[in-house]
Amino acid sequence: MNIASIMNALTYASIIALLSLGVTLTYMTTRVFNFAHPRFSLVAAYVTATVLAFIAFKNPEPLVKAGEVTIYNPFPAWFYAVGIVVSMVAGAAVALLEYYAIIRPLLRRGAGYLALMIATLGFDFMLVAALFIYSTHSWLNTVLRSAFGAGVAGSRLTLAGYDVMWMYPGTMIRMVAIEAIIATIAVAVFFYIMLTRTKIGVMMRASIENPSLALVLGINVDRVYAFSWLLAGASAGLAGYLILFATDVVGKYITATSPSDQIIVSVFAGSIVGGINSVFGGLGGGFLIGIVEQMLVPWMENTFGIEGLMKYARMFSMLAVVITLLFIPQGLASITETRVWKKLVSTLKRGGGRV
Amino acid sequence: MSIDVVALTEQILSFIALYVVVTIGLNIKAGATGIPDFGHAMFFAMGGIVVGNLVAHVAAAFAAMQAPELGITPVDVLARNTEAIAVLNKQYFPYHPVESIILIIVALVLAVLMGGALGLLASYPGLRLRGEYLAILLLTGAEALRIFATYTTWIMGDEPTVGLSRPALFAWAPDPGLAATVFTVLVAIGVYVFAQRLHNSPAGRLFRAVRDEEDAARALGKDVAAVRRDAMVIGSAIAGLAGALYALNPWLGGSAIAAESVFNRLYWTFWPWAMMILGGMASNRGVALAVMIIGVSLLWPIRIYKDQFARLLGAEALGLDVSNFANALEYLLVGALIIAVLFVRPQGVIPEEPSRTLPFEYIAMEKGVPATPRETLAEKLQRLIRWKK
Repeated sequence: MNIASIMNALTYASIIALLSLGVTLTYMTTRVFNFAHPRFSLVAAYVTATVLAFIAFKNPEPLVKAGEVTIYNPFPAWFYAVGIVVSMVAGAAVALLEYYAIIRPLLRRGAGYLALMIATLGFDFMLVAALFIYSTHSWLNTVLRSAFGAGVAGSRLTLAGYDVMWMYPGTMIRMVAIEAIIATIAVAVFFYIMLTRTKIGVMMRASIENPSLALVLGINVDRVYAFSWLLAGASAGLAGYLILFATDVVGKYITATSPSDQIIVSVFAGSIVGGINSVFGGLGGGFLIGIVEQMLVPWMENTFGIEGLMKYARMFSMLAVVITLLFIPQGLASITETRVWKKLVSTLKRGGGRV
Repeated sequence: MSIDVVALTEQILSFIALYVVVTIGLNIKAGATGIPDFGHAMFFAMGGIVVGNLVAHVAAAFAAMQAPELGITPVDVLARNTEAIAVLNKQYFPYHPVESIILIIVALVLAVLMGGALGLLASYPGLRLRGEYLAILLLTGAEALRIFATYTTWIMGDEPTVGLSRPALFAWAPDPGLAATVFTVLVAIGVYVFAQRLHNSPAGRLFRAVRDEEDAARALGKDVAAVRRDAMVIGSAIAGLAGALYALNPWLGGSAIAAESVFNRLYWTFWPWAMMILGGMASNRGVALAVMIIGVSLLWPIRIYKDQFARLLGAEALGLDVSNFANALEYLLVGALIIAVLFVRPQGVIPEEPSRTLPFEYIAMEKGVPATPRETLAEKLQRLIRWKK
């Protein structure tokens, strides 16, 4: 396995991890399994591409030779920084829209989990409709084409060719891969510090553990929920930025439906396998699922000589979910908390877990 | 702009009938028994695979016996699917009505059996998990099966990603489209009557009792696990039946049965969910009504006449792409309806109706319990007056 494919696998795993984190976060706080979550990243990708098209300019000499290494540098660093900020803001905005327009009113009416799940599905359909209209609109196509050339269109969006690349002889390192890994680590550190060291983090933990008690103690639970949706949306937006610049890792092009329809099940798999009641479980579980799909399966293909196993890669993450739910329903995060072997033996004795 | 009214009517009727069957299957599981089945598509897919794979094998065996000059043997169904089915569709089915009808019946029976068998398998986790966990498990299970089927040649033929060609089992009829439509509608009516009878039967009441108060049902000595399993099997069998209808009807299935189309999460899981929520959970009448509303409004202007419809709305003048605009309208309609119903009328258009049970004398007669003879109206009035005093 060469460096480029390892980098691609890490990028993919980071995208899944960032999305799983958001699914876990909104489930922990508001008990909503959000079907629209992966779509947030597509919305963010479209908004980012539009904004970037306006600030993009033709760099006279994107190719720089420095000894053995050729550096392809189409845009300056602030261009990508703007992209990251815009994508996070866009993701957070869509998430807040969903929370305030749909989830909060339904929660106040005391809707059950099924109604909430279906409502997120309905919101997802409306996002798809909006994306269908926006992505094929002639205005967007004119804007994108004038900035990025004829190869980029709204219905087959990708900016993978406009990333900074370091081309060593024999291998190529893309900036988006480094960004993905840094983003995942940064998000993990951010959540660790926020949940343990800040007031809002403590408020969030209190609202998760006992909403009524938190309310009695004067915590604005509603605002805490909104904040968690904002964080979930921002992380999905970050994933959208990564998808925009590493589209080839996740799928072929960005359209109104892909790649979110393809990765949604892996995302849910990540948050279930990691443990739906732990933020770090979501992040780690998503990363694990991504690594299994993109690294373990090719490794198995090579080592055991099973041809065409890679096509079934996503099936392995589904099987991971089935096994997790039947034997350790609280996810991998629960294992670290109790003694691993004792737990495993007792679950096997009982013949499966119960939720 | 010319409209082929007959073809359009047949198409809409087939669509409505198909969705009535799919959604009633889901309604028995999710609406009546409270199993959040987000993997409904996999049971539906069983029916499609039965028609494309198993029934095509039987058809090839018939053809090998009766028309050996065609040179089609059961092996060819998977080895060179496209050519073999094309030969059968042109030269065998149109001239063998009796065999075709037998094959249709075989298809329905096998689809019900396969759907039910998969439902039985899926009920194993269904008995252990609750709520969102079960929903996600079934969703991922269906997705895993989809990926498995998409790339596996013994399920999906020589080109698994393209899928299996559709055997034209209605080719013997003078008007295959009409015959298929009538057949689909008749099956849908049958399923509807079955579902209504189930709703009113003791078994249907038990399903709803388990959904509403599991502990109470258990305290009354009911085997909750068995009830959930039964609901899963019945609902999945009906979904399998729907899959077979989809694959048999030329208006619905198109020319090939691909894993991508029969396992389609959107069409066979999420849309049935949307229609069930719209119509009212555990309400068969509501489901039928919702399917009719969506079927007519979706197919008539949006899907079939999308170009004309988009022009009517001035889509091109606004810089919109016509076919994508029509796609967007489909999603917008369904999404907006779901959310509107959840906000305005969470119990659905026609809420769940109380079950209509038989009169007491009838049950007493069945059970052999001595019952008082049916009193006349005068006697009843007298009794009531006495009771009032």
